[in-house]
Amino acid sequence: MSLRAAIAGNTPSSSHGGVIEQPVSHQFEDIDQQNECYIVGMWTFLVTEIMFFGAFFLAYSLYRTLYPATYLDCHRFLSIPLGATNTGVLLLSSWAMVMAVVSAQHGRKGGMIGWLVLVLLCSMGFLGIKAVEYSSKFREGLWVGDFNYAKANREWIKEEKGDEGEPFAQTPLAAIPGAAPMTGADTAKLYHHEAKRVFPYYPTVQELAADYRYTTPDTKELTKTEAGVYTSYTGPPSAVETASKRAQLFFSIYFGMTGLHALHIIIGMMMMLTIIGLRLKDHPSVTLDYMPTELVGLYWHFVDLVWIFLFPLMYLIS
Amino acid sequence: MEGNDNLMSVQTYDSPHGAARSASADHGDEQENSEGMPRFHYLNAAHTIKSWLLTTDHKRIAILYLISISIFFLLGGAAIGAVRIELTSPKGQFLSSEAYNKMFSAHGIIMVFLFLVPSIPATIGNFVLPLMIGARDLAFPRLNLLSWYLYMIGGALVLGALAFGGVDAGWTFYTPYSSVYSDTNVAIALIGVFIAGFSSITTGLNFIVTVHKMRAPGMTWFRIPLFIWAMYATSVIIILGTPVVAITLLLVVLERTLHIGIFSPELGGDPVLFQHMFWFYSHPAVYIMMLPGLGVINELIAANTKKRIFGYSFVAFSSIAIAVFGFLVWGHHMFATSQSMYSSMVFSVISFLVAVPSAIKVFNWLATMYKGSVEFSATMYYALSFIGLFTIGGLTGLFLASLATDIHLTATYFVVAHFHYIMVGGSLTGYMGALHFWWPKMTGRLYPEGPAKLSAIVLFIGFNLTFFPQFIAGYLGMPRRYHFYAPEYQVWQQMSSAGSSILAIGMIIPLFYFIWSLKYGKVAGPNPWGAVGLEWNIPSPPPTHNFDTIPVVTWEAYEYQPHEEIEAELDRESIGAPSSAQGASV
Repeated sequence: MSLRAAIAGNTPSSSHGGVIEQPVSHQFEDIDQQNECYIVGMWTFLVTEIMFFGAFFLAYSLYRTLYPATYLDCHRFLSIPLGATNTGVLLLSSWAMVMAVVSAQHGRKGGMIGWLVLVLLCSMGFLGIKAVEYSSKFREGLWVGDFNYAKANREWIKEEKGDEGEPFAQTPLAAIPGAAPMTGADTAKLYHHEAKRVFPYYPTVQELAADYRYTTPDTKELTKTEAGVYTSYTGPPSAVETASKRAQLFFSIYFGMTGLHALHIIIGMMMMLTIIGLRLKDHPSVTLDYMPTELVGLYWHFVDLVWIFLFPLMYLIS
Repeated sequence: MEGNDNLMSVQTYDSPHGAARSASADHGDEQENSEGMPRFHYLNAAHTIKSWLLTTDHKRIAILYLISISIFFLLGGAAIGAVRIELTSPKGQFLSSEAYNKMFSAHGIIMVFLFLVPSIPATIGNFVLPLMIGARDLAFPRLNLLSWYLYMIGGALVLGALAFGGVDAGWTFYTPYSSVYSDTNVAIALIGVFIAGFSSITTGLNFIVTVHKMRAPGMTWFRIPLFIWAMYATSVIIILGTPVVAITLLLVVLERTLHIGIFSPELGGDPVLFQHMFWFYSHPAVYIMMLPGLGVINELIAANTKKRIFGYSFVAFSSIAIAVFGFLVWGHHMFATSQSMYSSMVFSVISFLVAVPSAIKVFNWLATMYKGSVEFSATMYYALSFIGLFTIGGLTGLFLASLATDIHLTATYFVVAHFHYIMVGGSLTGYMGALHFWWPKMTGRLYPEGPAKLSAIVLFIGFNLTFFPQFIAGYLGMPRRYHFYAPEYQVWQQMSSAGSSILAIGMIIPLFYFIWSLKYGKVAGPNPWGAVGLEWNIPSPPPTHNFDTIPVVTWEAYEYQPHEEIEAELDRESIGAPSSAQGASV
């Protein structure tokens, strides 16, 4: 199979002037062999990338199976408009990348650089939106290194109610069911968030926000002698504590997967900057050969594809 | 693809390897120096340090790998030397328990990630793979050099972590040992292993592309030497497995540094998930270490018996089968964890199935030797030693694959003995055999045969004395990784320690005669073994560009017999009739 036959504009009558003549490296017999090697090599690399992310997706699936309520609860904190915007931005960048590859195949310098700059702008936009999302997570106490689920829920309530005054933390136990039931439409909305609707024993947002701790009545506190070194043990953790820990697990996965994906975006941007720089200097490796652009394009589509999976799996849980 | 054309040319061919021979004969005499060595070859193409450190020649990169791997091997050996001395007494000799933990961890980490995984692929494979398939280089020479640098960076990080503080989590890095309870340099060592993992990924990627796309004209899939099949299967495992362990180890690093606690039980994470993901790579990694050794033995046996390997296609596909099965058995490392009994049963059955392709190989080697003109050279000593040790290692694996016995034997010295029979008795013996076999091709000079045979025998004796007692100690209940042990195990531990000193001698003898042979060894000539294969048709050491003209292959692999016989055998194979050698088969 000849790759040159497969690409657009190979016919001599093409209005774009046909395909550029590529130099052949010493280890190859001809240009077809070289191009095929590059393509097979890149696809093999993408297989390793799939396995790389695959391990993360495995962890995601396992914990989603084990803790469905946590996933349902935690996606409250992810902004669907921002995620959807990012999806659109990446799709746009994929299209620009296709155009850049076509321009490179036809040896059009301006087109190739222009489209690559558009890809770069898109990826900067993506990272910018990602930074906004991350910083709000940091602010709300959802970063796993400094995790504070109660604070995050108080912030969430504040945002949902649009209530700037009276921080929820100052009315802690009154909000716990059985202590003093709250009234009003807002309360009902908060009370019945999705996880609570599907999993009746899941803590309410109020309970989570109050960081309510209790010991189940039938578990006595262990005496020091009984407990040995475990003197701090006071019975099983409360549902609120458990939910908080599980939420931390969810955000471990969230930051791990999106962080790894963002790292791939950054690597892709560096590759594009390299190609643009070489093309501006008319370096033969990208001037006479469209393969570097083609391979970066393959990589870039893969990175986009990962996000296409991440977005629904993280943001659109229901 | 080109099958029909080649079949035609086989019918009419008269001089084997004619194309390649005439290619090298063009420049035969006038290009040799007074000793008979070629005047221009890859070793003397340039002499500066820079010409070595920035080389993209696969042969030079193989030599770089050979030197660095040997250094890591010596360091890993020194670490286990300290452990073996320590274990001669039930209460230990000179190490604290912390230091003991760090020593066996250092041994495991260095030997697995920095020696065994890259050993045959990165040195021998790098050197001979393009020569065997008739290519001028690997598909991506610069990527190949990058692979060596990644390996060295990873190795330096691991060594740094081990030297300045040490690592005590064992080479398996089980969580939560490695994430919560260890306060040693686990994170740095893991980053080192992570980077070294990318080194093997790039090597594997290079091999896959090269084997797919760079074979010489006429070199069809069923004409490539079986070593190439083994390297191909190995590369597939590397490509599919290594990224998974890379991300797994990275997650442990992230848990230690950024508190991303995917395996943290405190958050509801599952430490057994770590074991699943770790062994999803690390069990296939056993075959990353083993398959190249299995491939090498085909070459050694064919060259030493002057026969075509019996059942070529079966041996080729058994490599692929091992690669496939290798990915489906990782759960047998977790029979003693919370893993479901039913999945354990499935894993157990598939583990037994791995024995089938392994046995196909062993029986086919025996059938190859049958009625061959077996030459007892040093390389044949290594091959025979390999077959024996691999068989013992493989059969004891069946004990561990069956659920009930494994509960008794899990994490005992029986396991240690089993995987050393595979890893040392198999991989290392294969590596040594390969190094001897292709040493004349690499350096242009022959090693002395007598000391080589001696070292093979010393290795065999030392190895068995070291590890056979560990089967017994393990069966009697001695757990692995323990610093102190009950006095009744002392006799087995002392036998093992004595054996390891003999093993060390067996490893040091080759070091001396290999270095000696660089200057004083007999000039080998292109083909000292009378072997077939493209690499033996070019001068030793080969020129930088390998082949003056790319050969056109019109002959089958291992064409030692008259080609009519091979034709007849191939015909019988294709129509499924019993072959002539089947009377002796098993």
